[in-house]
Amino acid sequence: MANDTKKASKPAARKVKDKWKAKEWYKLYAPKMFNQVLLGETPSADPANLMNRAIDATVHDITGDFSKMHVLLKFKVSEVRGSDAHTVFVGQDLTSDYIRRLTRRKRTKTDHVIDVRTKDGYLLRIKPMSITEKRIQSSQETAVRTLMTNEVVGMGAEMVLSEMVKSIITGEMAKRLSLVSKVIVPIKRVEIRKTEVLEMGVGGQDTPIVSQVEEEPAEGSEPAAEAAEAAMAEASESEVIEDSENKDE
Amino acid sequence: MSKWGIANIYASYNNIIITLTDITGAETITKATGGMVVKQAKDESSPYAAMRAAEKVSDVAREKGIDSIHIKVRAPGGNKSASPGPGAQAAIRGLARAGMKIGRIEDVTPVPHDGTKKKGGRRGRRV
Repeated sequence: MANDTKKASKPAARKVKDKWKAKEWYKLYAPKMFNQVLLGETPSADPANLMNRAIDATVHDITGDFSKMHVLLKFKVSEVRGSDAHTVFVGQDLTSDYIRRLTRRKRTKTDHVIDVRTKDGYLLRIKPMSITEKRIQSSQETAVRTLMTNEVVGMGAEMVLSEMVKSIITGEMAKRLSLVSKVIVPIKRVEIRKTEVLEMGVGGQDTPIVSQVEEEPAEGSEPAAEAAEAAMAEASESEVIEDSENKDE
Repeated sequence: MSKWGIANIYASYNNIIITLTDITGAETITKATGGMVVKQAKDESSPYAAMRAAEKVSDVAREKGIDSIHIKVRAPGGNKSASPGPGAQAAIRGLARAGMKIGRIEDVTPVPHDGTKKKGGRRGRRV
């Protein structure tokens, strides 16, 4: 085989094109938890190759909520039916530029890592971060960590995965954590920096948690998204222009 | 309906690599590098090379049915330079110019949570 391709480059080129044509596009859908929104499409020659492909979507993509542009949700393909691929929720993340915007000098950013098992058996690793008004002592950090761990573990004991994820996305969990840790030190901001699903539980991804979105608003939000994109493109272009000006100087 | 892809742009001071994948990142649709579009090695990282590479990528992309892209820009990162090379912005601009719809633009430079020492030794690189 290898010799054949070496001998004549033309058939090789044709072969590559055929390979692309042999691929079919599969539609990726979010879990029922997120109303089975269409996340995107992916090509594949063999449906078996689709398994475990990962895709990110911002909360804005899914719900049309502009205030949540910086929250990424991660999904993984778990089931292929015909030309549809269904995904499961495997984690959440904040965009790195958002975190960088929050961290400043003379303030303490404390990272926490909390493993928690939800009521329906999911093992989650939740990584909140808290930002204080001024620098705090490490003993205070430790105290805050302990309190937060207790709170999150408590939440896990009474919540199923969908409720947990909802509280992460809406910021309810962050609010509860900041209330709890106020006793030790006034906290300016708490964010859930990252969530990882370490072990899958049983079911739990079927109850919709972002019910306010219907089909139409999702489509309606597209022009707005386009506007944002255009603005971004312009911004990047203007940056380029500025750069070139600087170089001239 | 427009299909989304991801343009992974790796911009160092020596070269630029644009890899266009599908939205999961599992399937490469096309790629182009600075060395594919310029003759001289010293021009591989130039904004001009980036622009040409972006054009090249978007041509194939359109042929294969992708017209909107998210962009992930990265510099060498790790214990190397954390700022993207001169081609990064030109590549983004080139993609936009070629008529691709741009979605998210994100910086995905790898950031060490402390690791090995940067090369060059205690007294730095002596040229």
